Amino acid sequence: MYIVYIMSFDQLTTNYINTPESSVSYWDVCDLIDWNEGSDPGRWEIYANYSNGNIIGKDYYTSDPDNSGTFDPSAHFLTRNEPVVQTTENADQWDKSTGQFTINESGIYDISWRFGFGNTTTNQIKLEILNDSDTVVSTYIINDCVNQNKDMIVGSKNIYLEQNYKFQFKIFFTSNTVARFKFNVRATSYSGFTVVRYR
Amino acid sequence: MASFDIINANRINTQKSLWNIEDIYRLPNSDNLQNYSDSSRNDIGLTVNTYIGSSYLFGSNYTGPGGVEKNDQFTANNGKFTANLSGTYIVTYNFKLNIIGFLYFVAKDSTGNRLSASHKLAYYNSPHAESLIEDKPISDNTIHVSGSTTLYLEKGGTFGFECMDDHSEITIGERYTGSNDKISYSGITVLRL
Repeated sequence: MYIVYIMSFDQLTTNYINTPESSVSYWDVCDLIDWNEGSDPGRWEIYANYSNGNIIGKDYYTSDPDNSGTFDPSAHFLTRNEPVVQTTENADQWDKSTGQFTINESGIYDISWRFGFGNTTTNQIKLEILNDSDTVVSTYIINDCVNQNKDMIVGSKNIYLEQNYKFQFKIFFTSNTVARFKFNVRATSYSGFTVVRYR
Repeated sequence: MASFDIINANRINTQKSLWNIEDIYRLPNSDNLQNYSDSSRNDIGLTVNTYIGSSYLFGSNYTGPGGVEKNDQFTANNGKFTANLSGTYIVTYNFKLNIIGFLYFVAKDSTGNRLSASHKLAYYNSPHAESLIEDKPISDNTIHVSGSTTLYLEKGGTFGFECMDDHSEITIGERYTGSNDKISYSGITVLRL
């Protein structure tokens, strides 16, 4: 009887430890919360146009600026969801004015991205890591090929990042001058990225 | 006895390990130029039925508590990663290949038996497809493949990315002369939760 009790107790304890409710900090930076159908209920799509060297989420223009009443043209991406460490982490770590996500806690992060194309473009997208002096210390080429209209590129990377480091996505072109990323189609997010910190 | 088990389990389960297995780690800091052993310098051909990385494409960097875990769990001469601790592993990958034929994620247990977590990564235009299309040869023949997979590995288990077509080439990163900037085209990360 004694041996059975120990085994059962260990199993329950291990399960409890392995499934904590707050084992990660989580950000979803995407186009979804930007959408307000407003006075134009017939429209399904909005695009953000990017030129060579632009930072995704910051440097872009919309193809439909006259209808800005139905969406926020200043924010291709906004942050939603934030079960983070409230004392040090928050939704503002994504800054739409810089297109950069700042690390507040050193640790292991997972960055997963998805970008939906609205035209055919030969492009290269880089994930750039900047240190606390805003110097690029690492660059990961996450896309380098021809994409066609309606293509989706998705991927992810686990990475260790120090406090005050930043990351950003930049796009470059070899033969085209513009890439169109879909904003979203009503309640469906097309483009954005998710950040998870493993606590 | 019970208290000791709780503390021990908590310590183990909160220690995460991360391996960055990338082309940038092959170059020493003093090397400002590409210095690869292949004749074409940039693109290294993949040999059929071998693992990506078996041509010394990648080096490895480890972040974590250490102990039995370290850099060289990824073996650069056979392209295989070996688990030194049993646990849940998240593997992310990004490869730039000229054309993808067949590429498999292959996981095995410590005795070499293939695990059910093995799967085909991607299939794109076959290297031979151009000759099959009479009027429209394929010209846009490069693609980035990226993604992630999660699996449980017992101690001694392995995984790697097996090439099934010897016509494929993989693109590796360049380092710009005079810059500290590191650029990775292709690589793998391994996270043990």
